[in-house]
Amino acid sequence: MTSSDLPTLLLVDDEPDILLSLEGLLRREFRLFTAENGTDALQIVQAESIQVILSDQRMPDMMGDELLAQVARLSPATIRILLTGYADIQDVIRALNTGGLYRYLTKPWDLDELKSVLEDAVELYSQHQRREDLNREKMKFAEDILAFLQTLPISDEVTALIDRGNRLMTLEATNT
Amino acid sequence: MSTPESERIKILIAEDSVTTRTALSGMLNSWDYDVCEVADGAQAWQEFDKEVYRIVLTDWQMPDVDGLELIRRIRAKENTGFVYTILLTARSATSDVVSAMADGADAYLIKPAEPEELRARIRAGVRIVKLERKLERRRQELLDVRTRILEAEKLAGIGQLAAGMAHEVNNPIAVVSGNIDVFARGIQSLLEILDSWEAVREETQIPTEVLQRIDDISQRNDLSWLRESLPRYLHTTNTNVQRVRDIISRLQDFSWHDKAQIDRIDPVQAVETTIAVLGSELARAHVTVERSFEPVSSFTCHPPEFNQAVYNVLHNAIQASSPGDKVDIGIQESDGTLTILVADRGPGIPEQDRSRIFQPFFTTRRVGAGSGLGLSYSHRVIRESGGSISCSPRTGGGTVFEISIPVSSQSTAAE
Repeated sequence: MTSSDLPTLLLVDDEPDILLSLEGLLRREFRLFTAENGTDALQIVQAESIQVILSDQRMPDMMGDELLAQVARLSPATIRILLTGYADIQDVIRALNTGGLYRYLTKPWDLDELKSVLEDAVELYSQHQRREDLNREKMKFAEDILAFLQTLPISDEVTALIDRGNRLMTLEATNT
Repeated sequence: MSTPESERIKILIAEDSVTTRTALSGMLNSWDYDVCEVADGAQAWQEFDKEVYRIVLTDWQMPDVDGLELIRRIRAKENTGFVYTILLTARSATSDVVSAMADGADAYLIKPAEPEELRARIRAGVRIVKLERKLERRRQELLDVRTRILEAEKLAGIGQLAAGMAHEVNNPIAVVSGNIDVFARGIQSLLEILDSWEAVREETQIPTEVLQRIDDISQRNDLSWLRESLPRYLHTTNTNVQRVRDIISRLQDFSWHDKAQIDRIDPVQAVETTIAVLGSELARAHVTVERSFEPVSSFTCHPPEFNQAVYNVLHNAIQASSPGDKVDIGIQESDGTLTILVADRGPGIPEQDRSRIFQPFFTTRRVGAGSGLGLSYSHRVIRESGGSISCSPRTGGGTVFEISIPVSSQSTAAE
Protein backbone atom coordinates (compact mmCIF):
# COMPACT_ATOMS: atom_id res chain seq x y z
CA MET A 1 0.00 0.00 0.00
CA THR A 2 1.51 3.33 -0.99
CA SER A 3 0.99 6.32 1.26
CA SER A 4 -1.59 7.79 -1.11
CA ASP A 5 -3.79 4.73 -0.61
CA LEU A 6 -3.98 5.35 3.14
CA PRO A 7 -7.05 7.00 4.62
CA THR A 8 -6.60 10.76 5.13
CA LEU A 9 -6.64 12.12 8.66
CA LEU A 10 -6.42 15.77 9.66
CA LEU A 11 -5.04 16.44 13.16
CA VAL A 12 -5.76 19.84 14.72
CA ASP A 13 -4.19 21.01 17.99
CA ASP A 14 -2.62 24.29 19.03
CA GLU A 15 0.12 22.38 20.84
CA PRO A 16 2.76 21.27 18.32
CA ASP A 17 4.00 18.61 20.77
CA ILE A 18 0.61 16.91 20.73
CA LEU A 19 0.62 16.92 16.92
CA LEU A 20 4.14 15.49 16.86
CA SER A 21 3.18 12.72 19.24
CA LEU A 22 0.04 11.83 17.27
CA GLU A 23 2.01 11.89 14.00
CA GLY A 24 4.52 9.46 15.46
CA LEU A 25 1.71 7.14 16.50
CA LEU A 26 -0.47 7.30 13.39
CA ARG A 27 1.91 7.91 10.50
CA ARG A 28 1.84 4.30 9.29
CA GLU A 29 -1.92 3.88 9.27
CA PHE A 30 -2.93 7.26 7.84
CA ARG A 31 -1.95 9.90 5.38
CA LEU A 32 -1.63 12.73 7.87
CA PHE A 33 -2.34 16.42 7.62
CA THR A 34 -1.79 18.72 10.60
CA ALA A 35 -2.98 22.19 11.53
CA GLU A 36 -2.23 24.28 14.60
CA ASN A 37 -5.40 26.33 14.36
CA GLY A 38 -8.94 26.27 13.02
CA THR A 39 -8.29 28.60 10.08
CA ASP A 40 -5.48 26.43 8.68
CA ALA A 41 -7.59 23.34 9.28
CA LEU A 42 -10.48 24.73 7.21
CA GLN A 43 -8.10 25.50 4.32
CA ILE A 44 -6.84 21.91 4.34
CA VAL A 45 -10.40 20.56 4.46
CA GLN A 46 -11.25 22.60 1.35
CA ALA A 47 -8.06 21.67 -0.53
CA GLU A 48 -7.85 17.96 0.29
CA SER A 49 -10.26 15.10 0.55
CA ILE A 50 -10.19 14.53 4.32
CA GLN A 51 -11.84 11.37 5.56
CA VAL A 52 -11.44 11.94 9.30
CA ILE A 53 -10.69 15.06 11.35
CA LEU A 54 -9.49 14.83 14.96
CA SER A 55 -9.57 18.24 16.61
CA ASP A 56 -8.64 19.61 20.00
CA GLN A 57 -11.43 21.56 21.71
CA ARG A 58 -9.58 24.49 23.30
CA MET A 59 -7.74 26.52 20.72
CA PRO A 60 -7.12 30.26 20.68
CA ASP A 61 -8.65 31.22 17.34
CA MET A 62 -11.56 28.80 17.13
CA MET A 63 -13.02 26.24 19.49
CA GLY A 64 -13.03 22.64 18.31
CA ASP A 65 -16.81 22.34 18.27
CA GLU A 66 -17.07 25.47 16.11
CA LEU A 67 -14.43 24.14 13.69
CA LEU A 68 -16.26 20.82 13.39
CA ALA A 69 -19.56 22.62 12.72
CA GLN A 70 -17.89 24.47 9.82
CA VAL A 71 -16.29 21.26 8.53
CA ALA A 72 -19.75 19.66 8.58
CA ARG A 73 -20.93 22.35 6.15
CA LEU A 74 -17.84 22.43 3.92
CA SER A 75 -17.20 18.70 3.77
CA PRO A 76 -20.16 16.73 5.11
CA ALA A 77 -18.53 13.36 4.38
CA THR A 78 -15.61 14.02 6.74
CA ILE A 79 -16.03 12.09 10.00
CA ARG A 80 -15.55 14.46 12.96
CA ILE A 81 -13.92 13.58 16.28
CA LEU A 82 -13.23 15.90 19.19
CA LEU A 83 -10.12 15.44 21.32
CA THR A 84 -10.11 17.33 24.55
CA GLY A 85 -8.13 17.60 27.76
CA TYR A 86 -11.00 19.51 29.23
CA ALA A 87 -13.74 16.92 29.16
CA ASP A 88 -16.17 19.77 29.28
CA ILE A 89 -19.53 18.10 28.91
CA GLN A 90 -21.09 21.33 27.63
CA ASP A 91 -18.61 21.61 24.74
CA VAL A 92 -19.19 17.99 23.81
CA ILE A 93 -22.97 18.42 23.85
CA ARG A 94 -22.65 21.50 21.65
CA ALA A 95 -20.35 19.64 19.26
CA LEU A 96 -22.83 16.75 19.10
CA ASN A 97 -25.70 19.07 18.33
CA THR A 98 -24.08 21.50 15.91
CA GLY A 99 -21.00 19.73 14.60
CA GLY A 100 -22.42 16.28 13.97
CA LEU A 101 -19.76 14.85 16.24
CA TYR A 102 -19.00 11.17 15.64
CA ARG A 103 -17.07 10.51 18.87
CA TYR A 104 -15.07 12.35 21.47
CA LEU A 105 -11.79 11.33 23.06
CA THR A 106 -10.12 12.70 26.15
CA LYS A 107 -6.49 13.59 26.70
CA PRO A 108 -4.44 11.72 27.65
CA TRP A 109 -5.75 9.20 25.15
CA ASP A 110 -5.49 5.48 25.37
CA LEU A 111 -3.60 4.30 22.26
CA ASP A 112 -5.83 1.28 21.64
CA GLU A 113 -8.98 3.34 22.07
CA LEU A 114 -7.61 6.10 19.84
CA LYS A 115 -6.81 3.61 17.09
CA SER A 116 -10.08 1.74 17.31
CA VAL A 117 -12.11 4.97 17.23
CA LEU A 118 -10.12 6.16 14.18
CA GLU A 119 -10.50 2.80 12.44
CA ASP A 120 -14.25 2.86 13.10
CA ALA A 121 -14.38 6.38 11.71
CA VAL A 122 -12.58 5.33 8.53
CA GLU A 123 -14.91 2.35 8.19
CA LEU A 124 -17.93 4.63 8.59
CA TYR A 125 -16.53 6.99 5.98
CA SER A 126 -16.06 4.06 3.57
CA GLN A 127 -19.58 2.83 4.24
CA HIS A 128 -20.97 6.27 3.44
CA GLN A 129 -18.78 6.39 0.37
CA ARG A 130 -19.91 2.95 -0.82
CA ARG A 131 -23.53 3.85 -0.25
CA GLU A 132 -23.05 7.05 -2.20
CA ASP A 133 -21.27 5.21 -5.04
CA LEU A 134 -24.07 2.69 -5.14
CA ASN A 135 -26.66 5.45 -5.17
CA ARG A 136 -24.83 7.24 -7.94
CA GLU A 137 -24.71 4.01 -9.93
CA LYS A 138 -28.46 3.50 -9.41
CA MET A 139 -29.22 7.04 -10.53
CA LYS A 140 -27.01 6.59 -13.58
CA PHE A 141 -28.90 3.41 -14.38
CA ALA A 142 -32.24 5.18 -13.93
CA GLU A 143 -31.11 7.97 -16.25
CA ASP A 144 -30.09 5.48 -18.92
CA ILE A 145 -33.40 3.67 -18.59
CA LEU A 146 -35.25 6.96 -18.86
CA ALA A 147 -33.35 7.90 -22.00
CA PHE A 148 -34.09 4.46 -23.43
CA LEU A 149 -37.81 4.74 -22.58
CA GLN A 150 -38.04 7.97 -24.52
CA THR A 151 -36.95 6.15 -27.70
CA LEU A 152 -39.82 3.67 -27.41
CA PRO A 153 -43.22 4.13 -29.13
CA ILE A 154 -45.64 5.96 -26.85
CA SER A 155 -48.04 3.87 -24.80
CA ASP A 156 -49.76 4.38 -21.42
CA GLU A 157 -47.22 2.14 -19.66
CA VAL A 158 -44.24 3.91 -21.21
CA THR A 159 -45.61 7.38 -20.37
CA ALA A 160 -46.29 6.32 -16.76
CA LEU A 161 -42.73 4.98 -16.41
CA ILE A 162 -41.24 8.19 -17.89
CA ASP A 163 -43.32 10.25 -15.40
CA ARG A 164 -42.03 8.11 -12.50
CA GLY A 165 -38.50 8.51 -13.76
CA ASN A 166 -38.82 12.29 -14.01
CA ARG A 167 -40.26 12.51 -10.49
CA LEU A 168 -37.32 10.47 -9.19
CA MET A 169 -34.84 12.79 -10.96
CA THR A 170 -36.52 15.87 -9.45
CA LEU A 171 -36.46 14.31 -5.95
CA GLU A 172 -32.77 13.44 -6.31
CA ALA A 173 -31.95 16.96 -7.51
CA THR A 174 -33.69 18.60 -4.55
CA ASN A 175 -32.04 16.17 -2.10
CA THR A 176 -28.44 16.93 -3.00
CA MET B 1 -27.47 27.87 91.33
CA SER B 2 -23.97 28.04 92.73
CA THR B 3 -21.46 30.11 90.80
CA PRO B 4 -18.26 28.23 89.89
CA GLU B 5 -15.13 29.42 91.67
CA SER B 6 -13.63 31.02 88.58
CA GLU B 7 -16.84 32.95 88.00
CA ARG B 8 -16.92 34.44 91.55
CA ILE B 9 -16.23 38.12 91.63
CA LYS B 10 -13.69 39.19 94.25
CA ILE B 11 -13.83 42.63 95.80
CA LEU B 12 -10.80 44.63 96.90
CA ILE B 13 -11.31 47.18 99.72
CA ALA B 14 -8.71 49.95 100.25
CA GLU B 15 -9.44 52.04 103.37
CA ASP B 16 -7.05 53.48 105.95
CA SER B 17 -9.64 53.73 108.68
CA VAL B 18 -9.87 50.41 110.51
CA THR B 19 -13.43 51.08 111.69
CA THR B 20 -14.78 51.89 108.21
CA ARG B 21 -12.80 49.01 106.65
CA THR B 22 -14.13 46.46 109.14
CA ALA B 23 -17.67 47.75 108.73
CA LEU B 24 -17.46 47.52 104.92
CA SER B 25 -15.97 44.04 104.79
CA GLY B 26 -18.44 42.87 107.43
CA MET B 27 -21.33 43.99 105.27
CA LEU B 28 -19.90 42.50 102.04
CA ASN B 29 -19.10 39.20 103.77
CA SER B 30 -22.63 39.00 105.10
CA TRP B 31 -23.88 39.34 101.48
CA ASP B 32 -21.60 36.42 100.57
CA TYR B 33 -18.93 38.27 98.57
CA ASP B 34 -15.22 37.34 98.59
CA VAL B 35 -13.37 40.28 100.05
CA CYS B 36 -9.74 41.30 100.44
CA GLU B 37 -9.03 44.36 102.62
CA VAL B 38 -5.92 46.53 102.62
CA ALA B 39 -5.01 49.67 104.59
CA ASP B 40 -3.78 52.00 101.85
CA GLY B 41 -3.47 52.68 98.11
CA ALA B 42 0.07 51.27 97.73
CA GLN B 43 -0.91 47.95 99.31
CA ALA B 44 -4.06 47.90 97.18
CA TRP B 45 -1.95 48.36 94.03
CA GLN B 46 0.35 45.48 95.08
CA GLU B 47 -2.65 43.24 95.76
CA PHE B 48 -4.28 44.20 92.47
CA ASP B 49 -1.09 43.16 90.67
CA LYS B 50 -1.20 39.69 92.27
CA GLU B 51 -4.87 38.76 92.01
CA VAL B 52 -7.81 39.31 89.71
CA TYR B 53 -10.25 41.82 91.21
CA ARG B 54 -13.23 42.93 89.19
CA ILE B 55 -14.62 45.31 91.80
CA VAL B 56 -12.50 47.81 93.76
CA LEU B 57 -13.91 49.82 96.64
CA THR B 58 -11.47 52.55 97.64
CA ASP B 59 -11.28 55.50 100.01
CA TRP B 60 -10.33 58.76 98.32
CA GLN B 61 -8.01 60.22 100.92
CA MET B 62 -5.13 57.91 101.77
CA PRO B 63 -1.39 58.56 102.31
CA ASP B 64 0.97 58.17 99.28
CA VAL B 65 -1.27 56.53 96.69
CA ASP B 66 -4.74 57.97 97.13
CA GLY B 67 -8.00 56.54 95.75
CA LEU B 68 -7.94 58.56 92.52
CA GLU B 69 -4.33 57.57 91.81
CA LEU B 70 -5.19 53.90 92.43
CA ILE B 71 -8.10 54.11 89.98
CA ARG B 72 -5.87 55.83 87.40
CA ARG B 73 -3.30 53.00 87.71
CA ILE B 74 -6.00 50.34 87.42
CA ARG B 75 -7.37 51.98 84.27
CA ALA B 76 -3.89 52.20 82.77
CA LYS B 77 -3.09 48.56 83.41
CA GLU B 78 -3.55 46.25 80.40
CA ASN B 79 -5.31 42.89 80.16
CA THR B 80 -7.30 43.32 83.35
CA GLY B 81 -10.71 43.02 81.79
CA PHE B 82 -13.27 45.48 83.03
CA VAL B 83 -12.81 46.65 86.67
CA TYR B 84 -15.70 48.36 88.43
CA THR B 85 -14.39 51.05 90.79
CA ILE B 86 -16.28 52.72 93.62
CA LEU B 87 -14.79 55.77 95.31
CA LEU B 88 -15.59 56.36 98.98
CA THR B 89 -15.52 59.97 100.02
CA ALA B 90 -16.56 62.38 102.69
CA ARG B 91 -16.84 65.10 100.05
CA SER B 92 -20.17 65.68 98.47
CA ALA B 93 -19.52 68.75 96.32
CA THR B 94 -20.59 68.22 92.68
CA SER B 95 -17.21 69.35 91.39
CA ASP B 96 -15.45 66.68 93.45
CA VAL B 97 -17.76 63.98 92.14
CA VAL B 98 -17.30 65.13 88.52
CA SER B 99 -13.53 65.12 88.85
CA ALA B 100 -13.61 61.62 90.42
CA MET B 101 -15.75 60.28 87.56
CA ALA B 102 -13.47 61.96 85.02
CA ASP B 103 -10.53 60.09 86.51
CA GLY B 104 -12.28 56.80 85.84
CA ALA B 105 -14.36 56.00 88.91
CA ASP B 106 -17.59 54.23 88.02
CA ALA B 107 -19.48 55.21 91.15
CA TYR B 108 -18.98 57.05 94.41
CA LEU B 109 -20.34 56.66 97.90
CA ILE B 110 -20.58 59.33 100.57
CA LYS B 111 -19.22 58.21 103.93
CA PRO B 112 -20.56 56.78 106.07
CA ALA B 113 -21.97 54.40 103.45
CA GLU B 114 -25.55 53.32 103.85
CA PRO B 115 -25.70 49.47 103.68
CA GLU B 116 -28.51 49.44 101.10
CA GLU B 117 -26.79 51.99 98.90
CA LEU B 118 -23.50 50.07 99.08
CA ARG B 119 -25.31 46.86 98.21
CA ALA B 120 -27.01 48.53 95.22
CA ARG B 121 -23.68 49.91 93.95
CA ILE B 122 -21.95 46.52 94.30
CA ARG B 123 -24.83 44.80 92.50
CA ALA B 124 -24.59 47.28 89.63
CA GLY B 125 -20.87 46.49 89.45
CA VAL B 126 -21.50 42.73 89.41
CA ARG B 127 -24.03 43.15 86.61
CA ILE B 128 -21.58 45.10 84.46
CA VAL B 129 -18.68 42.74 85.15
CA LYS B 130 -20.83 39.72 84.27
CA LEU B 131 -22.03 41.36 81.05
CA GLU B 132 -18.46 42.16 80.13
CA ARG B 133 -17.41 38.57 80.74
CA LYS B 134 -20.24 37.29 78.57
CA LEU B 135 -19.22 39.70 75.83
CA GLU B 136 -15.64 38.50 76.03
CA ARG B 137 -16.74 34.86 75.73
CA ARG B 138 -18.84 35.70 72.67
CA ARG B 139 -15.93 37.55 71.11
CA GLN B 140 -13.70 34.53 71.68
CA GLU B 141 -16.30 32.23 70.13
CA LEU B 142 -16.60 34.48 67.08
CA LEU B 143 -12.82 34.48 66.71
CA ASP B 144 -12.83 30.67 66.81
CA VAL B 145 -15.58 30.42 64.22
CA ARG B 146 -13.75 32.88 62.00
CA THR B 147 -10.55 30.84 62.22
CA ARG B 148 -12.42 27.68 61.33
CA ILE B 149 -14.25 29.24 58.41
CA LEU B 150 -10.94 30.47 57.06
CA GLU B 151 -9.56 26.97 57.43
CA ALA B 152 -12.56 25.44 55.65
CA GLU B 153 -12.23 27.96 52.80
CA LYS B 154 -8.57 27.14 52.52
CA LEU B 155 -9.38 23.42 52.25
CA ALA B 156 -11.99 24.09 49.56
CA GLY B 157 -9.40 26.16 47.71
CA ILE B 158 -6.91 23.32 47.83
CA GLY B 159 -9.53 20.98 46.33
CA GLN B 160 -10.13 23.38 43.45
CA LEU B 161 -6.43 23.78 42.95
CA ALA B 162 -5.99 20.01 42.74
CA ALA B 163 -8.76 19.70 40.15
CA GLY B 164 -7.27 22.58 38.16
CA MET B 165 -3.82 21.06 38.29
CA ALA B 166 -5.18 17.73 37.08
CA HIS B 167 -6.49 19.59 34.05
CA GLU B 168 -3.23 21.30 33.30
CA VAL B 169 -1.27 18.08 33.61
CA ASN B 170 -3.40 16.25 31.03
CA ASN B 171 -1.78 17.76 27.93
CA PRO B 172 1.86 17.12 28.89
CA ILE B 173 0.93 13.62 30.07
CA ALA B 174 -0.76 12.98 26.72
CA VAL B 175 2.46 14.00 24.93
CA VAL B 176 4.68 11.90 27.21
CA SER B 177 2.60 8.74 27.01
CA GLY B 178 2.05 9.20 23.27
CA ASN B 179 5.78 9.56 22.72
CA ILE B 180 6.53 6.49 24.81
CA ASP B 181 4.35 4.50 22.41
CA VAL B 182 6.25 6.07 19.50
CA PHE B 183 9.58 5.08 21.08
CA ALA B 184 8.37 1.55 21.77
CA ARG B 185 7.34 1.02 18.19
CA GLY B 186 10.45 2.77 16.86
CA ILE B 187 12.81 0.62 18.93
CA GLN B 188 10.93 -2.47 17.83
CA SER B 189 11.39 -1.43 14.20
CA LEU B 190 15.10 -0.65 14.62
CA LEU B 191 15.71 -4.02 16.25
CA GLU B 192 13.86 -5.73 13.43
CA ILE B 193 16.07 -3.99 10.88
CA LEU B 194 19.16 -4.90 12.88
CA ASP B 195 18.07 -8.54 13.10
CA SER B 196 17.60 -8.77 9.36
CA TRP B 197 21.11 -7.36 8.82
CA GLU B 198 22.63 -9.83 11.23
CA ALA B 199 20.84 -12.70 9.54
CA VAL B 200 22.61 -12.00 6.26
CA ARG B 201 25.95 -11.11 7.87
CA GLU B 202 27.64 -14.42 7.04
CA GLU B 203 26.23 -14.65 3.52
CA THR B 204 27.38 -11.27 2.30
CA GLN B 205 30.85 -10.42 1.11
CA ILE B 206 31.69 -7.83 3.73
CA PRO B 207 35.41 -7.14 4.24
CA THR B 208 36.63 -8.48 7.60
CA GLU B 209 37.90 -5.07 8.75
CA VAL B 210 34.43 -3.57 8.19
CA LEU B 211 32.85 -6.39 10.19
CA GLN B 212 35.44 -5.83 12.90
CA ARG B 213 34.58 -2.13 13.06
CA ILE B 214 30.87 -2.85 13.33
CA ASP B 215 31.56 -5.38 16.12
CA ASP B 216 33.64 -2.79 17.99
CA ILE B 217 30.82 -0.25 17.81
CA SER B 218 28.35 -2.90 18.99
CA GLN B 219 30.57 -3.80 21.90
CA ARG B 220 31.27 -0.20 22.88
CA ASN B 221 27.52 0.50 22.99
CA ASP B 222 26.77 -2.81 24.67
CA LEU B 223 24.31 -3.96 22.04
CA SER B 224 23.15 -7.01 23.97
CA TRP B 225 22.34 -4.81 26.96
CA LEU B 226 20.41 -2.38 24.76
CA ARG B 227 18.43 -5.23 23.20
CA GLU B 228 17.57 -6.66 26.56
CA SER B 229 17.09 -3.51 28.61
CA LEU B 230 15.47 -0.86 26.43
CA PRO B 231 12.13 -2.68 26.37
CA ARG B 232 12.33 -2.99 30.17
CA TYR B 233 13.01 0.74 30.58
CA LEU B 234 10.14 1.55 28.29
CA HIS B 235 7.90 -0.76 30.21
CA THR B 236 8.62 0.80 33.62
CA THR B 237 8.35 4.31 32.15
CA ASN B 238 4.98 3.39 30.77
CA THR B 239 3.83 1.85 34.05
CA ASN B 240 4.77 4.98 35.96
CA VAL B 241 3.18 7.37 33.52
CA GLN B 242 0.10 5.20 33.79
CA ARG B 243 0.22 5.69 37.56
CA VAL B 244 0.26 9.46 37.13
CA ARG B 245 -2.66 9.19 34.75
CA ASP B 246 -4.57 7.07 37.25
CA ILE B 247 -3.97 9.55 40.06
CA ILE B 248 -5.23 12.40 37.91
CA SER B 249 -8.25 10.55 36.69
CA ARG B 250 -9.10 9.56 40.27
CA LEU B 251 -8.82 13.17 41.37
CA GLN B 252 -11.19 14.13 38.59
CA ASP B 253 -13.57 11.27 39.31
CA PHE B 254 -13.58 12.20 42.93
CA SER B 255 -14.33 15.88 42.42
CA TRP B 256 -16.71 14.79 39.65
CA HIS B 257 -15.12 17.50 37.63
CA ASP B 258 -16.76 18.32 34.30
CA LYS B 259 -19.48 15.79 34.85
CA ALA B 260 -23.20 16.07 35.36
CA GLN B 261 -23.99 17.34 38.84
CA ILE B 262 -26.79 14.84 39.42
CA ASP B 263 -26.12 11.33 38.25
CA ARG B 264 -26.70 7.67 38.95
CA ILE B 265 -23.72 6.06 40.56
CA ASP B 266 -22.71 2.60 41.62
CA PRO B 267 -22.00 2.90 45.37
CA VAL B 268 -19.36 0.14 45.29
CA GLN B 269 -17.43 1.91 42.56
CA ALA B 270 -17.78 5.28 44.31
CA VAL B 271 -16.46 3.85 47.58
CA GLU B 272 -13.57 2.18 45.71
CA THR B 273 -12.67 5.54 44.18
CA THR B 274 -12.71 7.13 47.61
CA ILE B 275 -10.50 4.38 49.06
CA ALA B 276 -8.09 4.91 46.17
CA VAL B 277 -7.99 8.67 46.78
CA LEU B 278 -7.16 7.97 50.42
CA GLY B 279 -4.52 5.42 49.37
CA SER B 280 -1.48 7.43 50.41
CA GLU B 281 -3.14 8.42 53.68
CA LEU B 282 -3.83 4.75 54.43
CA ALA B 283 -0.23 3.82 53.58
CA ARG B 284 1.18 6.60 55.77
CA ALA B 285 -0.97 5.56 58.72
CA HIS B 286 -0.21 1.86 58.07
CA VAL B 287 -3.91 1.14 58.03
CA THR B 288 -5.49 -1.47 55.77
CA VAL B 289 -9.03 -1.69 54.46
CA GLU B 290 -11.10 -4.85 54.84
CA ARG B 291 -13.91 -4.83 52.28
CA SER B 292 -17.16 -6.70 52.46
CA PHE B 293 -19.08 -5.40 49.48
CA GLU B 294 -22.31 -6.93 48.30
CA PRO B 295 -23.71 -6.05 44.90
CA VAL B 296 -26.13 -3.16 45.38
CA SER B 297 -28.30 -1.09 43.09
CA SER B 298 -27.10 2.21 41.71
CA PHE B 299 -28.81 5.34 42.93
CA THR B 300 -29.21 8.96 41.99
CA CYS B 301 -27.29 11.55 43.93
CA HIS B 302 -24.97 14.51 43.69
CA PRO B 303 -21.79 12.45 43.20
CA PRO B 304 -19.09 14.92 44.37
CA GLU B 305 -21.00 15.55 47.59
CA PHE B 306 -21.67 11.86 48.17
CA ASN B 307 -17.99 11.06 47.54
CA GLN B 308 -16.90 13.79 49.95
CA ALA B 309 -19.34 12.55 52.60
CA VAL B 310 -17.93 9.01 52.42
CA TYR B 311 -14.40 10.40 52.24
CA ASN B 312 -14.87 12.33 55.49
CA VAL B 313 -16.18 9.29 57.37
CA LEU B 314 -13.36 7.11 56.07
CA HIS B 315 -10.78 9.81 56.76
CA ASN B 316 -12.08 10.07 60.32
CA ALA B 317 -11.74 6.29 60.72
CA ILE B 318 -8.13 6.39 59.49
CA GLN B 319 -7.30 9.18 61.92
CA ALA B 320 -8.81 7.20 64.79
CA SER B 321 -6.73 4.13 63.88
CA SER B 322 -3.30 3.09 65.11
CA PRO B 323 -0.58 1.71 62.83
CA GLY B 324 -1.37 -1.90 61.90
CA ASP B 325 -5.11 -1.44 62.40
CA LYS B 326 -7.78 -2.48 59.96
CA VAL B 327 -10.77 -0.42 58.91
CA ASP B 328 -13.77 -2.51 57.86
CA ILE B 329 -15.94 -1.12 55.10
CA GLY B 330 -19.21 -2.81 54.34
CA ILE B 331 -21.75 -2.10 51.61
CA GLN B 332 -25.10 -3.81 51.59
CA GLU B 333 -28.70 -3.28 50.60
CA SER B 334 -31.90 -4.54 52.12
CA ASP B 335 -35.53 -3.45 51.89
CA GLY B 336 -34.65 -0.58 49.60
CA THR B 337 -32.05 0.88 51.92
CA LEU B 338 -28.38 1.14 51.02
CA THR B 339 -26.09 0.82 54.03
CA ILE B 340 -22.43 1.74 54.16
CA LEU B 341 -20.59 0.71 57.33
CA VAL B 342 -17.18 2.04 58.31
CA ALA B 343 -15.70 0.45 61.43
CA ASP B 344 -12.42 1.46 63.05
CA ARG B 345 -10.53 -0.07 65.95
CA GLY B 346 -9.71 3.27 67.52
CA PRO B 347 -10.28 4.47 71.07
CA GLY B 348 -14.04 4.87 70.50
CA ILE B 349 -16.22 7.90 71.13
CA PRO B 350 -17.36 8.62 74.70
CA GLU B 351 -21.13 8.38 75.04
CA GLN B 352 -21.56 12.06 75.91
CA ASP B 353 -19.79 13.06 72.67
CA ARG B 354 -21.74 10.74 70.36
CA SER B 355 -24.59 13.19 69.84
CA ARG B 356 -22.19 16.06 69.25
CA ILE B 357 -19.83 14.35 66.82
CA PHE B 358 -21.91 15.48 63.80
CA GLN B 359 -22.15 19.08 64.98
CA PRO B 360 -20.08 21.64 63.09
CA PHE B 361 -16.75 22.46 64.73
CA PHE B 362 -16.92 19.61 67.20
CA THR B 363 -13.50 18.04 67.29
CA THR B 364 -11.56 15.98 69.76
CA ARG B 365 -8.32 16.66 67.96
CA ARG B 366 -5.91 19.35 68.95
CA VAL B 367 -6.42 22.80 67.44
CA GLY B 368 -5.34 22.83 63.81
CA ALA B 369 -5.41 19.04 63.41
CA GLY B 370 -9.01 18.87 62.33
CA SER B 371 -11.49 21.46 61.22
CA GLY B 372 -14.35 19.75 63.03
CA LEU B 373 -16.31 20.16 59.80
CA GLY B 374 -15.80 16.78 58.13
CA LEU B 375 -18.44 14.70 59.86
CA SER B 376 -20.92 17.56 60.05
CA TYR B 377 -20.57 17.89 56.27
CA SER B 378 -21.24 14.16 55.83
CA HIS B 379 -24.22 14.45 58.16
CA ARG B 380 -25.70 17.33 56.16
CA VAL B 381 -25.16 15.67 52.76
CA ILE B 382 -26.56 12.30 53.80
CA ARG B 383 -29.55 13.90 55.53
CA GLU B 384 -30.27 16.04 52.45
CA SER B 385 -30.37 12.90 50.31
CA GLY B 386 -33.04 11.52 52.65
CA GLY B 387 -30.68 9.24 54.54
CA SER B 388 -29.16 9.15 57.97
CA ILE B 389 -25.75 8.72 59.56
CA SER B 390 -25.04 7.48 63.06
CA CYS B 391 -22.23 6.07 65.13
CA SER B 392 -22.11 3.37 67.75
CA PRO B 393 -19.40 1.49 69.67
CA ARG B 394 -17.85 -1.44 67.83
CA THR B 395 -17.82 -4.77 69.65
CA GLY B 396 -14.21 -5.30 70.64
CA GLY B 397 -13.38 -1.59 70.66
CA GLY B 398 -13.63 1.26 68.20
CA THR B 399 -16.48 2.93 66.43
CA VAL B 400 -18.90 1.94 63.68
CA PHE B 401 -20.29 4.67 61.44
CA GLU B 402 -23.44 3.71 59.59
CA ILE B 403 -24.69 5.58 56.55
CA SER B 404 -28.20 4.62 55.42
CA ILE B 405 -29.75 5.90 52.22
CA PRO B 406 -33.14 4.95 50.83
CA VAL B 407 -32.60 3.81 47.24
CA SER B 408 -35.75 2.05 46.08
CA SER B 409 -38.28 4.83 46.63
CA GLN B 410 -35.79 7.23 45.13
CA SER B 411 -35.27 5.22 41.94
CA THR B 412 -39.01 5.00 41.28
CA ALA B 413 -39.24 8.74 41.79
CA ALA B 414 -36.32 9.39 39.48
CA GLU B 415 -37.42 7.15 36.63
